[in-house]
Formats: sequence, structure tokens, C-alpha cells
Amino acid sequence: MRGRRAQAVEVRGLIDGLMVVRLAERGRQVKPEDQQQQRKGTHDPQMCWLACELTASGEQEVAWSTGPHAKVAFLCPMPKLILITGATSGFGEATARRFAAEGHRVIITGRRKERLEALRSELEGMHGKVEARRSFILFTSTCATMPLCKRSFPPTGMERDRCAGEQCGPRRRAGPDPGRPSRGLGAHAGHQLKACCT
Amino acid sequence: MSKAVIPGMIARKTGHIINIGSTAGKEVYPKGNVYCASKYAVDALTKGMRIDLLPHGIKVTQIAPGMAETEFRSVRFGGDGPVRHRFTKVWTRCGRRTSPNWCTM
Repeated sequence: MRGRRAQAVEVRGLIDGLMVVRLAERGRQVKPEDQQQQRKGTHDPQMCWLACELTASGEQEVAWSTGPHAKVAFLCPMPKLILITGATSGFGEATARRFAAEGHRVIITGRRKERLEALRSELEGMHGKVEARRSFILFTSTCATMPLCKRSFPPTGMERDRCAGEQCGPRRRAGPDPGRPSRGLGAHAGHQLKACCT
Repeated sequence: MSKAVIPGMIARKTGHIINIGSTAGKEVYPKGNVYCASKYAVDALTKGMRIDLLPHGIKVTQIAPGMAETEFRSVRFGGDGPVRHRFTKVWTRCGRRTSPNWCTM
């Protein structure tokens, strides 16, 4: 069928075995050979086809692993906001890469600022297109992270699906009590927690 | 950190907190006194938080990794010495993927 094949799949980068690709044109039907032109190494064709299906149905970006235990990961329809402490190395770093590749909004924190900067620039380079709805925020100490947490996880008055970057402030209009500014550690939530503990 | 994020999670009635513990939080080993004590504390903290937060719909999980090739491992086993290579060799032979990237798959 003329015009149904996508032009190409653009390879965005390789993150620890996860190859992130993007369709040249959205909504077009992609065939496995299109991706075979771009990819390196061996993949399970069935897996690639699944990735294509997901892509053709509206997902713009897909990612799949290149390892022997390849499995398809795609940008989840409902990205979550994930706060990772100690993202400068080891498990934290691996987790940050993993969640970022899957399309979640990731907040990385840690003590070593240079490493965080490097990781952030790397992740932003990998996922440049989706950067707008994702935020890689870094802070170098717990004290500096606390206000961020209160903004990113506000107790009241926020819409669940939009809290990235500068949009993550408490939304007073949408809150149940419009006249009252929501505080980070709100008395309401704190009271609930205290009641639960006792 | 948990104090900062929990109120928001309670208000939304959803959330998931994942603490990184260790097998050192399950069993002690020689010369690991303080580290094991800390990781036991993580274990207890996780269980306590779970009891308190489950009614609010917040899940609290602990991950207790065993041997993994992280920076901590190189600190503990003295850099890239022979112990590290022996460790990697044995565990790879056991079929374990010790890289943190594999652990998060």
C-alpha cells in the first residue's frame, strides 16, 4: 500500500543496552525491515514487530533492549514521577536510566554534583524530544531536595498527570479548599498520618 | 526524604516508596557491624512504614540486593584487586548478572 510505510526509524541513542528509537513520521505503519535497517545486533523479530505495533498505534517513541533477554519497553501512557536518591552511581544510576528510557519523569538526586550534571545531560540528550514533559532535576543535598519534593508531590490541589518541571507547583484553583494555600507538610495530611500511627 | 513526599502521597491515596536495603539487613557478617546495623534499621523502617502507610494506599517496598558490581563493592573489596575479580568470576559462573543495570531489568 502506497504511503503506508514509515520513512525510517531514527535511532536516538543507546542507553545501557536499551536502544531508543523514534519514528520519522507518526502514525504510519512500520514494517520490521524498516527497523532492521537501523538497528545493530540481533533482535527477536517478534519483539520488534510488537514495538512497531505500539508505535503505529500512536506511541512516538519505543525502546527495546539489545541484550539476549530482549524485551520491549515502550513509553508508558501514564508516566510516573519518580524520585531517585543516590543517582550518582550503582543502583540509583541504573534505575534512573531505566525509568528515563521507559518515559517516566525522573528526579535524580545525589551528593556529587558533577556526576548528576553528567547523568542529566546524558539523559536529556537521549530523550530530547520528550524533555518538555519530563524533568531531570538535580539537587546535591537532602535539604535542597525537600522543597522540590513538596512541590513535586504536593499534598493537595494538583492534577496527577501534569507535574513536571515548572508546572509542578501546587495548584490552588484545583484544590478542594481554594482559599487556603497548600503547604508542603500540610496539617491535613500530617494529621492523617499521626492518626494512623496511633 | 520520606517525610517530604509522604503527605502528597497520602493526599493522592497512591504512591510507592522503595528503600534500598541489603542482604546485610537480613544477616550479619564479620566486621560489618555498623553497616549491618544500618541496613537492619532500613529493614525495620520499611516494615514500620508499611504498616503505617498501607491504609493510605501507599506501598512500601524494600529491595535487598546481594552482590552487585557497584561502586560500593569496589570500596568494600578494595578497588580492582584480586578479590573483585574472583567475586565477578564466581558470580558470573553462577549465572548471576551482577551489574546494576541487569538488576533493574
